[in-house]
Amino acid sequence: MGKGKIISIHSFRGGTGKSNITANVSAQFAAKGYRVGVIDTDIQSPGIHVLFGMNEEQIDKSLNDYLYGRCKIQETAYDMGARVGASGDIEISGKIYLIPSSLRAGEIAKVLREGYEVGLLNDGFRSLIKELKLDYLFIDTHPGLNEETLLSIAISDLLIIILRPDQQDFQGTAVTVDVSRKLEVPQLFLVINKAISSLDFADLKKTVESTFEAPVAAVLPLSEDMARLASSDIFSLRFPDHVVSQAIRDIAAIVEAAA
Amino acid sequence: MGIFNRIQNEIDDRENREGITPADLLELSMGLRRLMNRITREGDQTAEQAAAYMGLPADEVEDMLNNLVAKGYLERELEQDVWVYRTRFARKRGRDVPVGIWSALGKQVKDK
Repeated sequence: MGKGKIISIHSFRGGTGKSNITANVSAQFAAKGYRVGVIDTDIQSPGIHVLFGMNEEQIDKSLNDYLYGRCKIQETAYDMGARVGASGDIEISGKIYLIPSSLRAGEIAKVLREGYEVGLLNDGFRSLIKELKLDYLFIDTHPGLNEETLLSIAISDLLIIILRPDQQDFQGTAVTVDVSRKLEVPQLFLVINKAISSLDFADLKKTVESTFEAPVAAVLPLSEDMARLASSDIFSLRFPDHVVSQAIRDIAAIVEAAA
Repeated sequence: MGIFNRIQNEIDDRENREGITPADLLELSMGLRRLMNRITREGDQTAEQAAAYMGLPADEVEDMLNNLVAKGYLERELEQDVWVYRTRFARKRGRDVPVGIWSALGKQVKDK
């Protein structure tokens, strides 16, 4: 423990389940006893707070406040332990903090209109690890390649790229894999999400690994059960025996061993 | 030409900047990118640490790092009598779009 590793979870296209997987994997780490931070750098379209049961009224200070010098980064971290542990039988023996981005239209517009100091965001990642004594900091990024995404890839110890078995995702993933190699990310894993049941998962995994020359940590099935939950909770904690939850735990185990 | 000279020449040829963007890292040559990637990922590095990673003499790497500071790619700070180097990121610029888009977002935008 006490590694202070940075793990970025990324996808080239939207709708891959990136935030859902980030919330679930980070919660599994907290359940294992680790101190975990989850930061929403999807400043243009924040959303991961929903999975942790937060709404706009409950977000007093956000990442935006830190970026504009209104507070320290650690003041934007919310202890999610009680919320995350409340929905299921799994005890959260570690700590899990969420650093949300603002949902206020004015704040989102300000970032788009005025920009911000990228160096401050970078410093913020390091400060969070130090001040909150984090074992792992998970960065939930905006889909595609932009400033925050490239920064998160450039500073990550481990990168997870989420893709669906879809030609558009395959092409976009190729670009992201190329960028991650140029930025020399020490560990890279792919996660295939929303695979339809008629596919041969073992064959799909093999094909993707061979195409991108990168390991696939898990193949998650397209799940109506997960869709039914509609991002209202951490699925793998609420339904620990579900096949999707097992795949989430597989990802957590692979990441834990690698990072 | 050795790797030191190649990287030094590339740094010399580059224009002075007020920091770099993460996207700029992708455009650097392999040797310079390797150095910048290392400093960016580690957060900060001394010349000795960077030299050990690059497999080059510390004095040569210190010259490179100071050159990068002069060009605006890195910043340095004296910590316990040793220079520590960090990536100097440029500010993310706002988008230049028609004013009407912002006003369409309502009063909140004007208030901020």
